[in-house]
Amino acid sequence: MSFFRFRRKKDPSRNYLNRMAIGLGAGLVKARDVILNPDFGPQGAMDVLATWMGQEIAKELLNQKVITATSTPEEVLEKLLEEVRIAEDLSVEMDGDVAHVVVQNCLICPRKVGGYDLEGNTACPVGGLVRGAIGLVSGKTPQLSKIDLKTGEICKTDFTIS
Amino acid sequence: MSSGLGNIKVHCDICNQPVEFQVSQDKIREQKDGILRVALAHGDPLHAIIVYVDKNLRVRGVEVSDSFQMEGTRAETVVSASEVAENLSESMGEPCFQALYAYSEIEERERAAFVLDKTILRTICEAGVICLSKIRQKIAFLEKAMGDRIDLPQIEVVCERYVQEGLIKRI
Repeated sequence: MSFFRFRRKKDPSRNYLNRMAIGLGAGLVKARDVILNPDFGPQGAMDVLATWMGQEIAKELLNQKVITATSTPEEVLEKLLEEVRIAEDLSVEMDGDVAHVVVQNCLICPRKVGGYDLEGNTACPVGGLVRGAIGLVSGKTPQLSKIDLKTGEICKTDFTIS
Repeated sequence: MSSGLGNIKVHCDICNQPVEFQVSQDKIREQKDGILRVALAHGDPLHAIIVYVDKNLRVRGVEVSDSFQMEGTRAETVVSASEVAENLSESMGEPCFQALYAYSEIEERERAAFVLDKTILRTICEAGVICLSKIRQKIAFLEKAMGDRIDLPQIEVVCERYVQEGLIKRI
């Protein structure tokens, strides 16, 4: 007979995984009709699920006081991408209301990192994460004005935050 | 809404006379956009007007046909989608958008677009012509799916971007 007991150590950075799982579970239930609809495809399913995950991560960022309810959308965007560690090289350039996000050497790419064949599809969570997080904190929903995804290479997404 | 027939009276600008007709509420319910277009042939000499009726049996607009032709005993009337939208736009005071492509023609281009944007574009392409509030109505399921409110200004911003990109037209 063996016995294993797990006691949680306080490591706030690990809470993001829990939050993503919570968002994923809630999103799967609430968005099941969209996810199961072939019209929306893998990217559409990822968009809705990542929106839920983004909302949950934003709650954790607020819990940990990394951001506050008065943080600007730019600050939320910066902290979200920094804490979630999406990529080795990530830049956010603000141009008025538009945030140009460039992701290089993505760390969550199913193709490059995971080695999976995406069969010509994309499944980038960045748009949904950002939309969900900024929407939850500031109540302002960013518009994704331009998306240029080159899976495993350089992905560029423009968010209009106004 | 109750089923059955509703009586409607409109004024014809050609003969300057009132014209009465009946519409079936079941027939209105069958319309995708909730507007029934009725071509009314009447008078002597025979002429026609096109009446737009909504589900509340309100007349949304009346148009005069430019020409009227009979083939056998059947009156042929074609109402273009843009005419319908212009009419709706005037009566409801909100912008309408017209698709310039079938969605299948632009699907690949929009492969990576965000789900909201893509759904709005698909909705316009499938409707041919549609007004803003109707788009919102058709994409309302995304609010639940994303746990997020989607308001009219958000939809309009997306539409305007597609207008600038030449995929749809504002009318």
